[in-house]
Amino acid sequence: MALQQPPSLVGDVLERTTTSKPPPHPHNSPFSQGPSKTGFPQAQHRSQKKSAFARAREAANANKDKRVIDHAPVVVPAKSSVISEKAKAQDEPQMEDDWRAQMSRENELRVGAMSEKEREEERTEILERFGPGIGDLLKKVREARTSKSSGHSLFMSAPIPSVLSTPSSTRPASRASKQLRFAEVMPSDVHVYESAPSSPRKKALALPPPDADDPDVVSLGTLAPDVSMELVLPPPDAADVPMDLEPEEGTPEYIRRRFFPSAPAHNPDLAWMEDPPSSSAPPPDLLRFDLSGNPLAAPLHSSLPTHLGLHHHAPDADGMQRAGYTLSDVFTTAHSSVRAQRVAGMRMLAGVARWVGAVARGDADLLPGTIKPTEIGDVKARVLAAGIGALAERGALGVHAVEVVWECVVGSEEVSLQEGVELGKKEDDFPLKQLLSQIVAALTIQSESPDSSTSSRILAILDRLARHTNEITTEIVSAHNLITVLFRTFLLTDPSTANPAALDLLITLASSTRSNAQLLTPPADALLRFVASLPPEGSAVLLTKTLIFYKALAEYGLYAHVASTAHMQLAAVAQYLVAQEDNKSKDHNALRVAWLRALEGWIVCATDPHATTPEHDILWSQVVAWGWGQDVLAMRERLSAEEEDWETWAAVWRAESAWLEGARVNGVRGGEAERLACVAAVKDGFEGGEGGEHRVVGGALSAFAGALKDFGTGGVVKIRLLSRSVLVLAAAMRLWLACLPPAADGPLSAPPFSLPFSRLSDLCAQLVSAPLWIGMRKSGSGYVLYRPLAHLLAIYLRFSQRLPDVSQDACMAQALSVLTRLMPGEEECAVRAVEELLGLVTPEWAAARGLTGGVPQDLWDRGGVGILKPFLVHAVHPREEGLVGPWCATPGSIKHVATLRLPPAASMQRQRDHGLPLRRDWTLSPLDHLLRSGTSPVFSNLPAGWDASEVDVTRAALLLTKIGRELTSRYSFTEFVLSREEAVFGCMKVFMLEHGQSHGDSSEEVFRDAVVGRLMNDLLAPYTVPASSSAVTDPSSPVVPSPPIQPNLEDVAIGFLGTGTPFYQYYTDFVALYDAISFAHPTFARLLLPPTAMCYAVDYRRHLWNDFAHVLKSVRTEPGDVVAGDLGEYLWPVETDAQMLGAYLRALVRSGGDGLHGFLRMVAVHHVACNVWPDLRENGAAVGAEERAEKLVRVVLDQGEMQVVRDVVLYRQVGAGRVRVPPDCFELSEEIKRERLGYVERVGGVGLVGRVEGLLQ
Amino acid sequence: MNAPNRHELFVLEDGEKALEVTEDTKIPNAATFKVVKQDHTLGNMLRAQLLASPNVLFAGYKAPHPLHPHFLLKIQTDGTITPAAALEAAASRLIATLSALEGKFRREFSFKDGESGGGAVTAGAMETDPYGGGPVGWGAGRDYLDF
Repeated sequence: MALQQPPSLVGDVLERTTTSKPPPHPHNSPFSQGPSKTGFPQAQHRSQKKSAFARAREAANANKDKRVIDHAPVVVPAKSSVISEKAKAQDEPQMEDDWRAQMSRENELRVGAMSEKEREEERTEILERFGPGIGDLLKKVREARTSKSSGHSLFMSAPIPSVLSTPSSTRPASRASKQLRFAEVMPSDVHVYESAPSSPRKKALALPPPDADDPDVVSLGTLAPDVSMELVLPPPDAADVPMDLEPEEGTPEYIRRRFFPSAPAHNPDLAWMEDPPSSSAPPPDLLRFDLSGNPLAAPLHSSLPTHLGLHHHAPDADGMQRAGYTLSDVFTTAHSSVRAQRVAGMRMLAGVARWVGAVARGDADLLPGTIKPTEIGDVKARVLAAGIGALAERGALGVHAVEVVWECVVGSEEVSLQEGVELGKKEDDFPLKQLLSQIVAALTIQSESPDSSTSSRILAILDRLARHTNEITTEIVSAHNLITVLFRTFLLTDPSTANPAALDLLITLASSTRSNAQLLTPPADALLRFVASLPPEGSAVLLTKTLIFYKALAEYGLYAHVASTAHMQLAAVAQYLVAQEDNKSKDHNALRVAWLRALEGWIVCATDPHATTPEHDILWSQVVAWGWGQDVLAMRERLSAEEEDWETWAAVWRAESAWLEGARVNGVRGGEAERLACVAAVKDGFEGGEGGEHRVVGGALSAFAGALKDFGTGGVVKIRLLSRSVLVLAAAMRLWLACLPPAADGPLSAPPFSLPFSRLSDLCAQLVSAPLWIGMRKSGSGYVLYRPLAHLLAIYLRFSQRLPDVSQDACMAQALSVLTRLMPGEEECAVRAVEELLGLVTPEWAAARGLTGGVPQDLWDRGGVGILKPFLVHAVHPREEGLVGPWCATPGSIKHVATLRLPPAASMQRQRDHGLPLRRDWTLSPLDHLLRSGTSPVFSNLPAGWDASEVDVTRAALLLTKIGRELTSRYSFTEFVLSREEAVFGCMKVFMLEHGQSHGDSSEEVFRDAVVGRLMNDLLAPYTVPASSSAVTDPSSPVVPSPPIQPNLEDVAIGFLGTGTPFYQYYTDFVALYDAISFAHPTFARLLLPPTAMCYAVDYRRHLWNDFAHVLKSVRTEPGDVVAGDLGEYLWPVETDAQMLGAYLRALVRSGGDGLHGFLRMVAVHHVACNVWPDLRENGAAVGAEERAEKLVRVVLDQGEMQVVRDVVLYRQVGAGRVRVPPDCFELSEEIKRERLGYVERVGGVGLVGRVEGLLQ
Repeated sequence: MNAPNRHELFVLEDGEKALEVTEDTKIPNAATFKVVKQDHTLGNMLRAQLLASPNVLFAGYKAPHPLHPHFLLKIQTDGTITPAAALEAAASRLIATLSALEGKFRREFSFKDGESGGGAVTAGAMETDPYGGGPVGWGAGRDYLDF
């Protein structure tokens, strides 16, 4: 009955012709030239063809009167947009529906009239006739029918909403045969022609697709498929609503039933009367925003009044118009070609961006059912893209676009951003380039019509981006015109409107990399205007920041010539500062500090004229001539000892130290005169009870002690508090060091001035092992805050070496502990400490401390531990490039510094690029280079004359490690003592030196060297079981206290293997090497065991016990030689892995019990026995445990040698306390013997009892 | 390609000795045997056989490079016999085991021939335990792996 018609397009559907021939065809279809004889469209030459427009006009004229009528009945739900009309509407078989409805109605009436009893009779009759399955069948048929007719059953009193049903179904029966068909228009068929003429009379609804190869066609993307095109099924149970549920009075359905019972339900012509569908068919978009971009709560969508302006958008797919704008509405509006609308859209987007940021931070909750949390990133990217697109617009649009980008990049959250560290990578697809070019345009607009909030936002965006990584800063600096426009807009304006935030940005950019700083030097001249105008107009902030910027450049040795070119102005600044001595305002303080820091920077540059770029940029003679040293000292006269002046004090001391250090190099007689002058000036201050310096140092010490005590769980505020006093103390110590005569002059007779030496030492010792360092790893980019603390320790290291009452050993222990605390940037100090450490380890020194035990003289003859220097220096700074600037610039650093910022916290965890802080086992790092001698950069850059052999290096490394451990444990720096795993892994490395070598003779093997072997044993001795267990009873034993955090071997191995190679792979190589060449070397064998402890994955045990079961025979480690804190590590929890138990059993049974010795035998017996005997079993309740126990006991008793049977039967172990070792573990009480005998009897019957009777009675 | 010629894997070159013994200079009763033109097949068997001997404290081998057709076998004994003697004994036992295996294999193969050739199989042949006879190194029937 479906009459096939050629597909036609929506806009031209015409109905209501009463003739039998097909309705007029749409005229713009090329195939609709009328009926043809062949069935194919008739060809017509194009010269005779009328144009589509002409035909359409004619048709429109001809059908004019007809169309008037035609329009009336087409009632579609409110969303009658072009697209939704194209919904594929199939014509329902009306006739069938009608008669079915009628029959049903009659049936229902009849059923309704029947009594309960009659119904029951009818039901049984049906069941008898068709069998019991008929009920289901009928139900299915009914379901199928109701779903087919989209719920148009007459029995439904509640209006069932359906987008489809309303316009197309329930046509009057007379027109049932008419087929209304819609073109199957897919979203991809909708094309918009760029030049489509918009005619007021006729709207081009849809046009045929363009040629694929038409170059003029611009795709605007595919339209999202309209939800309304999907067929929506009513809930199946809707059909079960009883028919006699009377509709509410006054509703259209009520009127129909009451007054027009013959009229079909749901007449589309009357659809306008019906209530709008309440239970929306497609789920409405719950995520809606108001005009300022705040998300609206779901209940408000339908309840808000329309006058609020939240309804000015197309209705939803279900035809309902809700308050608020969906995300796509907002995006559409933000791209509107009507400017005012676009502004409004952009404003909403700013709100959306704020909301997205809040969701991403977790401050706001996602409404359930709106968007998934994973999609938030996409939304943010789209918002950002929209914002960037409009950034270069003028007026309100640009303002809001800046706000959008600001929200996306910076966000209104209060984060405490740390200076001097990279935050880490931005998202991979962050459109940085587009953003920067747009920002240039936006800045240009700002320079013409400034708007303070927008410009500060733009600066904030740039500043935040610059903090992320050095790559981004490089992009910013090299972005075309950006810096120029930045200067023009913010700095070269009237000084009253110049923006200090721009200087902040410049400082961040300059501190990122040396090349960026270099690019910033040419425009830096322009900043002199802030130096020149004294007194500063308004606040001194601009001058302060300019000086800080110059200081940042000076730390690279750049732009130092400004000190000479502008020395008049700088002198004026100095005079101004002296003149303003009573000015205690914060700004003034900051200016003073900045001035002193800049002086310090330039003095450091002047110390070595070859370190600056370009060379001889500033000369020491100039510095002397300008009298900066005196200026600085003059400054101290006017400072109070109050806490707010501490920073200035520290700056004064630092500048003075730099001056004295420079004078030591450049001055007459090593700068003796300058030193004496300085000491004369400050001695009273430091020593007199009322001296300013004395009180400042005392106050800082108390504050430091207090802050250290109250540190608690830490946090940014507490570390900052700590840093304040720490920097003062560090500056004081530096000044003290600078005032010392050169070390070559011999020991000090008297200190230049006194400091509270013992308190300083105590506090530094507390600091180095304070628990606050544990928080450093977890603090993310906040780890930069620990830099002052590390700096203090670095200075203290030099300080304590010059103190007369600190022993050499204590100094070495301090160096060993401080080295693992230093941060990147302190490489110079670390290298010096390492060199001094190596220099101190001499044969005499070792002999005096009894550490020579077995170290032959030829080790010392061949250079001692000094041969390790190239390796250890490499451990401190693995790369030549990428050096981080030190906390206090030195003449040595300024030439090589690549950046002033610490790397992001994430890359610090990997520790590939930066050696500091050193790992605890850094003294073993020479072995790493031996293992990778082919690729090691150290081996390619060894100093001339270095000719140590592999054995020498190994000996020296082991000796140094041993010394380091002895020292640190003697001074109870527990955290810095080599841990057991590190020692084990280090010794493993010694053995692995033979991996891949093809020695024919064992004498060439490094680990066979007697000294190496002894040193390894010494190294492992404190970690073996007797030592570990005696620690409990005998505190005086030389046991090593274990560090608070016990790493496992896998974590330790990452330091050497990296994350790409698992430790397991290393272990398999290790076992294979043992198998191939060991000749059962006892230490080698001992090292096989640690990864088979029960705390490691079962794979290690499987590998040794199962895959390399044949090597077990040669492992003769006794329980007393096992490297472990406690033997229980290998015993508990009891093994339950079936494969492992099989391996233990096989090892016991196979070679008559001869295949296992010592500790391995005990382990195997333990695990088997603990799985057999009910009194030892831990997992008694586990599934299959009983069955397994029975099997095990049979196998052991059947196949085991007598000795094995005896061991397993008599084995006894205690779960807590000290592990019993043989023979203690083979003693049983009578009671347990009886129990076990009873168990064997129960399991194996008399046959097995015979074997164990003798043992158990 | 750098793959050696196939025949180089098993044909001794002129003047090349199939076996070289190096007494270890450092470890008592230990020696390294370089076995040329052999690979893991022999190395693994010898190692297993050596380890079965109570006089041998350590036996291990490595094939230093997969493209170099030799392996290094390291043996240490308890001093009652020399490593060379231990290797010799192991080799003899290995040969014995292998010939026993070969004999059994041939026997079974002849049964198979008889089966397919004659078409009729005597009941006696079926009843003979094909795996029986002769002590087997690792107790057949003692199966402790099946749980």
